[in-house]
Amino acid sequence: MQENRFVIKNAPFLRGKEDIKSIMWTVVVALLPTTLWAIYLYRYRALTVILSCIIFTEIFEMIFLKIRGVKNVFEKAFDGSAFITGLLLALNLPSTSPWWMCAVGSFVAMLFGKHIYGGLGNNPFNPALIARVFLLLSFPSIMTRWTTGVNLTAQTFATPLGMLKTQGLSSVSNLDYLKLFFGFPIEGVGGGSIGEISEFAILIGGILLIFRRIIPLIVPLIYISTVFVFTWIFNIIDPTKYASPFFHMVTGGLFLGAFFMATDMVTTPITKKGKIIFAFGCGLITSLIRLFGAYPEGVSFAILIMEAISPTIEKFTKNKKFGE
Amino acid sequence: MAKLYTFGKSGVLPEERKELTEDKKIERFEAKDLIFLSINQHIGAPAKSLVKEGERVLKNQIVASGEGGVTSIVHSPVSGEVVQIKSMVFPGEIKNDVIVIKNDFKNEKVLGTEEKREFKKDKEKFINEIKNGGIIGMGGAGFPTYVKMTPPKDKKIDLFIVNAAECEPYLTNDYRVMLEFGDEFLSGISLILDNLDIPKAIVGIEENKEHAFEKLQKSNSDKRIEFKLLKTKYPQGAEKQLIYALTKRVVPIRKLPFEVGVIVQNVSTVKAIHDLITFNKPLTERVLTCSGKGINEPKNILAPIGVTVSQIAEFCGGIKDNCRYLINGGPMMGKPFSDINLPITKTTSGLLFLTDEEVNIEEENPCIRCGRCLSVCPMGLNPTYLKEASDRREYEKMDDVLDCIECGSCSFICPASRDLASSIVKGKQKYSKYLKRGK
Ligand code: SF4
Ligand code: SF4
Repeated sequence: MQENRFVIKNAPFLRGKEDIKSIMWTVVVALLPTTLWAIYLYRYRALTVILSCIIFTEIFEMIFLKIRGVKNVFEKAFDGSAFITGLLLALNLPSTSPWWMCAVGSFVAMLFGKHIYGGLGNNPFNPALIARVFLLLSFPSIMTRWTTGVNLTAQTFATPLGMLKTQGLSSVSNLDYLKLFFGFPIEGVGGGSIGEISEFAILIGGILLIFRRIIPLIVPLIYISTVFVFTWIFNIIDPTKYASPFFHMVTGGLFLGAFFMATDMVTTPITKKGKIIFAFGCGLITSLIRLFGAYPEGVSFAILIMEAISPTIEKFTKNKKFGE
Repeated sequence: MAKLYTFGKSGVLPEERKELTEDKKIERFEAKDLIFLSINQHIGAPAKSLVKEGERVLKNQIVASGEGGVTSIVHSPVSGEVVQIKSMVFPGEIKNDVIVIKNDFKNEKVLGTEEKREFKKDKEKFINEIKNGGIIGMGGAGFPTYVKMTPPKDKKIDLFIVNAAECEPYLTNDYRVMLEFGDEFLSGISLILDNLDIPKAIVGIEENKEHAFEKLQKSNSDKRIEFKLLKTKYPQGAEKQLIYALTKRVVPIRKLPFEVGVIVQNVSTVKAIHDLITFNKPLTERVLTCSGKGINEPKNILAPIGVTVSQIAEFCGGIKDNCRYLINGGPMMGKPFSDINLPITKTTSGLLFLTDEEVNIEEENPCIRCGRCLSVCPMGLNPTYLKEASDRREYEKMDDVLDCIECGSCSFICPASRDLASSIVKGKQKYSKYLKRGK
């Protein structure tokens, strides 16, 4: 009789179906509406940015995995996580970004955003955000060269948030919020990063992720409502100086950040209470930068700052044990 | 539709896979020529062998007995001769002495009657009989029942709960006992209420066993017994979660159920108590589910304690070639067996023969901090944190491991296939040793 034909593994012997791949690729699917809208608006330019970012990110991912001596490099590189980083980075860049800048961004994202810390799961900051902020500081002029959607000439314009910051409230008072929400281009107004134009497209993907239980509703909800309430208060105090909260809803990277970056599992608190504090902090800092800061937009900085204190938040928001 | 009771938002929903055996009548399996009785089938101090090699024993005779506050007694299920006392390795590298008895098939017995005996209400005698009858929790943990029935004097017990959740996938043994031994089961509950002076009992049954729920409710005539349907969710049958689901009473952290006036027993244990009190039959047999796609004929079996896995496998048509896992218990909390010559014990609720198709344990990946393990943990712990602390023996971070009920929900849900539960369970042992050493 055969003995020891049985495999010894640890209970439980049944495991759930969701794995890293299914989670990551669902996030990619959730980013599709936004991606497709970007390509529709900016045609080959968006396509160049998106493809460059994804391809370079995947290449650097494989190189660094190899250097770190990880097994199954190919399989790991296509677990979807690097793909998301590449895509998110692209969606956070202007349509006019040259391919080489995308390559630099991808390199920074993979090395300084991810692998230097030991790869997926260990990075304290969202790699795409690290890369974006790096590019913003290194190539400030390229990073603020905004065009108006369909207008593919080199002519560039300020974004609504930029106009508000430099030219005051009157310059944006006639903008059609609905057009901004759905992401239709407005003549003479810069669209911003290719992924932040249509709040509507982001919302579709966000709702998918909430229903698939990949992101908790609470994070985007609190983040966005905090910005709403905060900007509303100032709008009430002085409506001649501060824009309406609805304006803040439909401009900049708020939705993209709230649904796809403040919900990054790796870099945000793991506890529910922690997530709430995190989202609130993001909303608060975003509002402060938008209203009083030197930059017109504060989503990236807000999320990075909160990520920096995320371990501390986590420590102070332990779950209550059953029976405690 | 009756109201469904449950323990809150945590927990998981594994595939039930009970269809393999749920409609299979319990078949009696007669002892073969050799019986292997482990002296350590329960939680607490191991029993000591009272017999020597060469000695003749009778059916129901005590062959091993323990000393101290928490221990138990083992009886022989057959008459015959003790041929050997040897050490066998059980899962987790645990070595136990095993008394090997050669069955003489004469069935000469010391205890047990065919006719019902009258048992006059007597708490002390009742508990003493349960102790001497070798009755332990048959749901899996194996905690001696008499200990559970003797709470400290200042604790008033006002509720008896029967754990009929059977939330482990595959297992249908409790379900079949309730269907086929319904009267014995109900009379077991009444006996416990009578003798322990408890005014009320609740039987908590998962929704997927509604058939048993209805049947019992119909045949029950004891007004003190109430039946409640539980939502089918794992681990609905975990003691503290079950108590909460049925009564909303919260057992304080690191305390036992009697803290909130409750005693919990599992279905098979209640039936065993009935057999003991009514027919003077000590615990020498049990119903177990033998299932999985790796066995030819999945069955529910009434088998003597001490028969081997290989004997049972043969009774179930033999092990298939693609069987890769052998599990003692359910798939969520059971223990892996590597040796088919090991015997079943009083806590063997199931023997599972599983194939690669059924078991999907992937290689471990780094934690992506998705938080799923936290949201499913019925004890509200942070499994990923505890696993890391346990693996690294960071004792100052490990205190919560003591609250882990080892349910495995965290490992089940983890998308990175991390072996959270097993690390934490090991951490529990390491930490307990560390505490004993006196920091
Ligand atoms: S479920 Fe797994 S991946 Fe998610 S937080 Fe827990 S250990 Fe990490
Ligand atoms: S930590 Fe323990 S109690 Fe919590 S889910 Fe994991 S095994 Fe169950």
